[in-house]
Amino acid sequence: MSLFKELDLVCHQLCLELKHEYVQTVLPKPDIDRDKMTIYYMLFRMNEPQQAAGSYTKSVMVAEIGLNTHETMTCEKRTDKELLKQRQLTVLSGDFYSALYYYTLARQSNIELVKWVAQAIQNFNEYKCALFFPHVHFGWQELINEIKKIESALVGKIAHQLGFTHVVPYISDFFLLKRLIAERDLSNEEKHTGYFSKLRLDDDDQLVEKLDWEIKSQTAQLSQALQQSENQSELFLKLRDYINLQLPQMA
Amino acid sequence: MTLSRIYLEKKGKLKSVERALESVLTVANPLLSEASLDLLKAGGKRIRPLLTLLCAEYGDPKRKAVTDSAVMLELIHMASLVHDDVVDDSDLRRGKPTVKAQWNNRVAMFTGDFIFAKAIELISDVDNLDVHRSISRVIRDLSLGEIDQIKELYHWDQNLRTYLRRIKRKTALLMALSCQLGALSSGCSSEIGLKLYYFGYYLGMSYQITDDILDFIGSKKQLGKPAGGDLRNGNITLPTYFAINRYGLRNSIRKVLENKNPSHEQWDSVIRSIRASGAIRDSEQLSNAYLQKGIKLLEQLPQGKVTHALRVIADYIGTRDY
Repeated sequence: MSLFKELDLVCHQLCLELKHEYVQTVLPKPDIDRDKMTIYYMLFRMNEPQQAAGSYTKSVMVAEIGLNTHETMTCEKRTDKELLKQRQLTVLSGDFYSALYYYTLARQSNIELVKWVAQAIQNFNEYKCALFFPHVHFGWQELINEIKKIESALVGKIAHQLGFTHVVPYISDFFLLKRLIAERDLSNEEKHTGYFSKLRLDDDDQLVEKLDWEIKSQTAQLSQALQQSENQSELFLKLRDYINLQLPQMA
Repeated sequence: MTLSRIYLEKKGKLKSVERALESVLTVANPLLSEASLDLLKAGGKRIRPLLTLLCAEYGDPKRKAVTDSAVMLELIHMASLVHDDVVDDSDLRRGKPTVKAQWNNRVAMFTGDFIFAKAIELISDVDNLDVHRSISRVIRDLSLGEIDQIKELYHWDQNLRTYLRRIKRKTALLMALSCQLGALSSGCSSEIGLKLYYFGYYLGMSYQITDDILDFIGSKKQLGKPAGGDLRNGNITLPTYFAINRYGLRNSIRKVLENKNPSHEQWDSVIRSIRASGAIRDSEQLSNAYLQKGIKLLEQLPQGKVTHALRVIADYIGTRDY
C-alpha cells in the first residue's frame, strides 16, 4: 500500500474516533491537519509496522485536536443559549479528545507515548501562557520564536523521543510557516486569533505586510536548509521530499 | 471514630499529598503557576485523596504509588473544576474568584489542560496496564458525562436511568477509582480492589444525589448562590425528576423551563413547590439506598480500623448538609 493510501486509512479511522453523535450536531467537525498526520505517521513508521504506526498517529492526532478545540475558546460574555451551548461543548469536547488519547494508548499498551504526549501538552500550555500573557514586551523575532515553539510542541517532542532529533528543526520551521500563512489569511479577512495581538502595530495592513515578508523569508530558509543538508537518513529524505512537495502549494 | 478524627489521623499523609500537589503545580510560567496554586489554596474536602489513602491501608500504604495516585486523582478533579467554571460561567468557587473570572476563558483552558496533563504524566510511571486502562476509561467517561449533562439540559421528560448514568459518569466513577487505586497502588489483591471500587461507586452516587438535594434545600450562604441553581440552569436533577413524575409538578416545571425568560418569582415559586413536595424525601431515600449498598460491601472487607473509617465516611455522606 502506498503512503498516501495508508494515510487515507488512518484519516478515516481518526474521523471515526472523533465522532460524537451529539457534539457534531452543535459544533463543526474538528479540522484534521493532514500535514501533521503525515509527519507523525512517517515518524512512527520508521520503527513500527503499519497498523501500530497508524494507531499511534491516530492517538497523538486526537491529543492535537483536543488542544486545537480549546484554541477556539472565546472570552466575551454570552447570553444566547445556542452560543452558550457551543462554548460549553468546545470545552467539553476538547476534554473528551484529551481523555481519548490516553484511553486509546492505554489500550495499545503504550504508556511511554502517553507520558511524552502529557509532557508535550504541559509545554504547549506553558508556551501559550507566555505568548498571551508575556511578562516582557515581545519583539517580532521573539514572537516568531514563541509561535514556532507552540506549533511544534507535540510533534517536536515525539520526534525527539523517538530518536529523530535531527529532523526537529525542519518540522518546526514547516509548522511555523503553516501558522504564519494561516495568520496572514485570517488577517486579510480581518479575523484574529490573538497570536499577534500584543504587537504594537498601527493597522492590519502592516501586519499582513510583515507576515508576507516573514513567510517568504522562512520559505526560502527552509528550502535552502533542506537542500544543503548532508543528512542522508531515510526519514530525512522522506521528510524533505514531502516538505518540498508541500511548500509551493502553501505560500 | 468521627470524620474529624479520620482527617486528623491522615493529616500527615494529606499534607504530603498537598505538598506534592504544590510541587507539581509550581512551574516556570508565573501565570500558570499562580492560576493552578490559587485553585489549590482555595482548598476543598480532599475526599478523593482521603479515600485513596484510607483504602491503601488494606495493603502497604508507604508505597510511592499511593501518594502518586492520590495526587493524580486530585489533579484530575482540579482540572475538571477549572473547565467546569467556564461551562457554568461561574465567577466564584469556594468564595474565591475562579481562574476564568480572574483571567479569562482561554487561561482557564490552558490551566485545566496543563493540570490534566500533569496528572497523566504523574501516573504514567505506574507500571500496571490494568491500572492505566481503568483510569483512562474513567477519565473518558467523566468527559462523556459532562457532555451528556449539556445534551440533557432542559429535557424535562428525561428518565431516571438517564440521570443515574449521568451522575455515575460525572461523580461516582472518580470516587470508585479513588478507592480502587488506593488498594491497587498499595499492592492489594484485585478482589479487594474491586470491592472497594464498588464501595466508592455507591458512595459517589449517594454523594452526587445529596449534592443535588442540597442545591434545593441549602441556604444562599451555604451554597454561595441562590437555591435551585441546577434547575435555573436547565439541569434536571433527581428532586426535579421526582417532582415531575411523582408529585404532579410536570406542568409548572415544564412551563418555567420552556419559558425563554422566566422571572425570579416564577423560578422561586417552582423551587418552593419542589421543596414542599415529597421529591426531596424520595431523593434522600434513593441516596440512602446507594449508601446502604456501599455499607453492605464493607462487611466483605477485613474488619478493622480502616473498614470502620470507611463506614464513618459513608455515614457522613448520608448526613452532610453542606
